[in-house]
Amino acid sequence: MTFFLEQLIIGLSSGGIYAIMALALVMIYKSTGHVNLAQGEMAVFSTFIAWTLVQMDVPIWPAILLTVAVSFVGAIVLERVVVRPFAKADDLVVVAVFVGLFLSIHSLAGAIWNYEVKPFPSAFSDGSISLMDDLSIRAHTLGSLLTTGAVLTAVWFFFRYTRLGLALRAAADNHESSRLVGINVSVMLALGWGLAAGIGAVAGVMIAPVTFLDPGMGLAPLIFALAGALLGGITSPFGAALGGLIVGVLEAMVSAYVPYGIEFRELIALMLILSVLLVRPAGLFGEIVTRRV
Amino acid sequence: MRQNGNPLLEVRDLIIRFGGVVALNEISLEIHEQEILGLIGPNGAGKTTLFNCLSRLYRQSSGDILVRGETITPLGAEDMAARGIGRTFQNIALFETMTVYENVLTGAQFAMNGGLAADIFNGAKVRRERAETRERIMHLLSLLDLADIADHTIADQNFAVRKRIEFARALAAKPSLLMLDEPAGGLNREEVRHLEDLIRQVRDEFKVAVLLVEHHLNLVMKVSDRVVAMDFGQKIADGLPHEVRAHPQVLRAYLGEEAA
Repeated sequence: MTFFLEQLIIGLSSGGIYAIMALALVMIYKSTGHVNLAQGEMAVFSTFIAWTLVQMDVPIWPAILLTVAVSFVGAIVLERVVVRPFAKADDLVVVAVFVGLFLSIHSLAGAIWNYEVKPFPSAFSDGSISLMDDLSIRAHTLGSLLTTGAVLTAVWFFFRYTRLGLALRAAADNHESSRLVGINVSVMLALGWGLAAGIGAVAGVMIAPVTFLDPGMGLAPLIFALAGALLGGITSPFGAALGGLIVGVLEAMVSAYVPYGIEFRELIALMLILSVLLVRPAGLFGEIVTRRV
Repeated sequence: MRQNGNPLLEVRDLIIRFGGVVALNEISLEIHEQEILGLIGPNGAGKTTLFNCLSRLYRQSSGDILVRGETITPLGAEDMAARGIGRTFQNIALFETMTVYENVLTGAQFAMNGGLAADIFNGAKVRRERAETRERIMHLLSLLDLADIADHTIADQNFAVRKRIEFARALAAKPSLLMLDEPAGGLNREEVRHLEDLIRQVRDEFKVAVLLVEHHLNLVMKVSDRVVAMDFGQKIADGLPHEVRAHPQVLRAYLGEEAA
C-alpha cells in the first residue's frame, strides 16, 4: 500500500509537468489549429537558459523567474517572425514550419550548450520529506507537484476571472468576432505564445533535475503531454490538464508494476495516442469541431 | 452623445471591387442618431459587403466612411466598438467555447479599450466595475429572454436563441449604431413579430440607431424610419418605407421586368 501511494505521488508529480505542458499545447492549438511540435524543444531551450544563469551563480528561484520572463518575450518574437507569416498557409505548410522550428531550436541548443548530459539543480532541497512512517518522498517530487498545481490554479484563475484572460479566450475562439468587440487579435495570439512558452519553461526546470539536461530532453515529455492533451481533449484546457495527470500516474504505475515497464513507457504513451484517436478523437472533454465552409 | 450637426454615419461614394467584380458601386447614404434604416435588395445586391466594409472587415477601393464627421477609413475592425459601431452576423459568430454570459461580457469588456492588465492589480475599483457590468449584462439578458440560460454554454442553444445572444453582445458594447445582418433569417412568424417590437424597444431604451439588413420585407417596412434599396451594388432607392416599396426600380429588382 505504501509502495502504491509512493508511486501515485511520483506519478502525479510527473503528471503535473505533463499537465502544464498539455495546457501549453492546448493554448497554441486553440489559436493556430495545430499542435506545436516544438513545444518540448522550446522548454528545453528555456531550461538551458536557466542552467546558464545558475552557472553564473544566480540563485535558482530568481534564475527560474528570469527564464520564464525571457521565454515569454522570446516566444512572442518567435510567433511574430516565424509563425505569423504562415497563419493563412495550408495545414501541411504549417506542420512543416513547426517541424522546422523543432529541428532549429534543437540544433541551436546543441550548438550553444553541446550534447553532453548536464545535471540540473532542483529548486527544492535535496533531501526527502517523510509523509508517513514508512513513506518518504523526495523534496523535489513534492515541490514539483506543488509548483505545477500552483501553475494550473493560476492559469485557471487567469482565464476565468481576468479581462485579459477573457480576451485571450475570445481571440482563440473567433477572430472576426473578437476584433468587432474591440480585441486586438494579433496581440492576443502573440501573448498566447508567450504564455505557453513561460509555462513550458516551468515544466522544463521541474523535469530537468529528474531526467538531467540535454538537447534531447524535451521529446519524451512532449509525447506524454500530447498523449494527455489528446486523452483529455485537445480543445479543452481542463481536459488536457487532467489527461496529463492521468498519463503521469499511468506511466508511474506501468514502470512500477509491469516487468520491464520502465523500458516501454513511451510506447504506452504512443499507444494511448493511437487508441484515443481511433476510439474517441475528441478526447474525454473535448468537443467535436464542426465548421461551416 | 455629441451633436455637431453631422449625421451619425455617412457613406460617401463607396466603391468596392473584388478583382474585376464591382461589389459596391458609388454607394452614398446617411444614418442619423436613433434612426432605424432598413437596407433591402435581392441576393448579391451588396448588402453584406457594405456591412463588412462599415465594420472594417473589408476595405473599400475608394470613397469614405465618416462617423459623426470623422473618417473611419484608416481604422481596423478592432477600433469599431470604441467608435460605437456594433453588429450581428447573418450566420452568427459567437464564442462557441464560452457561456452565454461570457459571450455578452466580451461585448461589455473591450469596447472602452482600458488597460487589460489593470484588473489584476486594482482590486476595489475592479470589483465595483465588475458588479456594475454584471448588473448591466443581466439586464440585457433579461430584456432578451436569456437570463435563465446565462451560465449555459453556447453549444446547447438553438438558432433563434443564438441570434438573441449575438444581439445582446452587440448591445453590451453600448453602441450608437447597431448593424443587424438578417436578424429575422431562420425565425418563425411569432419570433419575427417579437423581433419587430424588440428592435424598436432597443432603439428607444438604448438610444441607438439601427441599420437593418433584411430579406423579410414586411419586417423592414414596418420597423424602419427610412429604407434604402440596393441592386447589383448600386443604390436604387432611398426614402420612406412606402415610397421605396412603390419605387419602380425596386419592383423591377424584386419581381422582374414585367412587373414594373
